[in-house]
Amino acid sequence: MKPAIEIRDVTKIYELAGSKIKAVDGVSLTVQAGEFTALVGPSGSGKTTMLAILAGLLRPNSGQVIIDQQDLTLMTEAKRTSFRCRYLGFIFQASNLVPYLTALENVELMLKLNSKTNQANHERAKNLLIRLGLGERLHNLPGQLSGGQQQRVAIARALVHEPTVVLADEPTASLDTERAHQVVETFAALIHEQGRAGIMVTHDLRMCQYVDQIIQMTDGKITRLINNRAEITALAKGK
Amino acid sequence: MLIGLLVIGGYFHVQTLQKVVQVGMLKAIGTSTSTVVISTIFQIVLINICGVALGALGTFILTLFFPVTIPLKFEGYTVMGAVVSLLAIGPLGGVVSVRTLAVVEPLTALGLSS
Repeated sequence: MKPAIEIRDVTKIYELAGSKIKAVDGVSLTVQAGEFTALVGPSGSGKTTMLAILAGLLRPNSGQVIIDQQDLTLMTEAKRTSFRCRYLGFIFQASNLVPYLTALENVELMLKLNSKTNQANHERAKNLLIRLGLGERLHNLPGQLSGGQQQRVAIARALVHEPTVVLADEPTASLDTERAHQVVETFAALIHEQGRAGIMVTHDLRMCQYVDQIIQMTDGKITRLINNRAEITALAKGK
Repeated sequence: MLIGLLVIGGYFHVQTLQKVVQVGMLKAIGTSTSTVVISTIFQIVLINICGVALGALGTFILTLFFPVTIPLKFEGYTVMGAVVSLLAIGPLGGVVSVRTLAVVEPLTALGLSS
């Protein structure tokens, strides 16, 4: 089976004040559909740059980024925008919901952008929010929701249009421990249930207990790949 | 006319700057720049029409209470001229805002910038 995400020898160099910095240095990795991967590493290790490359927001200097058998590096800006809309789901650090749309409308925004607004998908958006424990909050504005609830709306928005890949950038950064666990546990369950390929950038190793694979980055390179359950659990518990 | 252009343009620009991250997020999730531009122009024109209509109505109501000693006259052609001019310069004042949002990078949603 072809992997949902395949990255081949990707390098990204930033030029700052005449000097060149390799933010991502010859990274290769694969993620299968239904697999949840954590991208971890210290600040400046290149994980957010890697996420931006995966999302088609940044073009690498060399290498290939293949999602659903389509190479993002060969696409024009406009094609990458429509690709993101159709094939990718995003969860940002701050939930980044549209403040004047209700929880349900925020989720349905992805359906509108994909011209998929119909009764069946309306029900799907509603059911997704109910599944995420927000059945009583469908018509609340983001300002009326807690941080954890907002992130759960963001999860629903990232999944409602049935993307191939879901990318999360520090989704628990603004949450307390209990809510962070709730959010990532639910996110992982949905990734597995719906067969999406999920990649989560995180600083918090405790959140790694819900993933299937951990990729550790240092200075732009993959320094460790863990896909053994016992090792993942040990790392998540700080052992 | 110039003052109107600056005031309306300034208002839209302040509103725009507050929404840069939000627009970055919308572009990151797949909203095209053309959709952002069309939506911005539509909102600017709509807000401008509402503003001019409310302003004209307010002015008309005030004229009913002006004492005759105040040397101000609001007559048909003068008022129509002002309304049409404001309707025209509103979108013109919003041009800078449209450009600002058109060039917002989706990377801002990740706290990055190229």
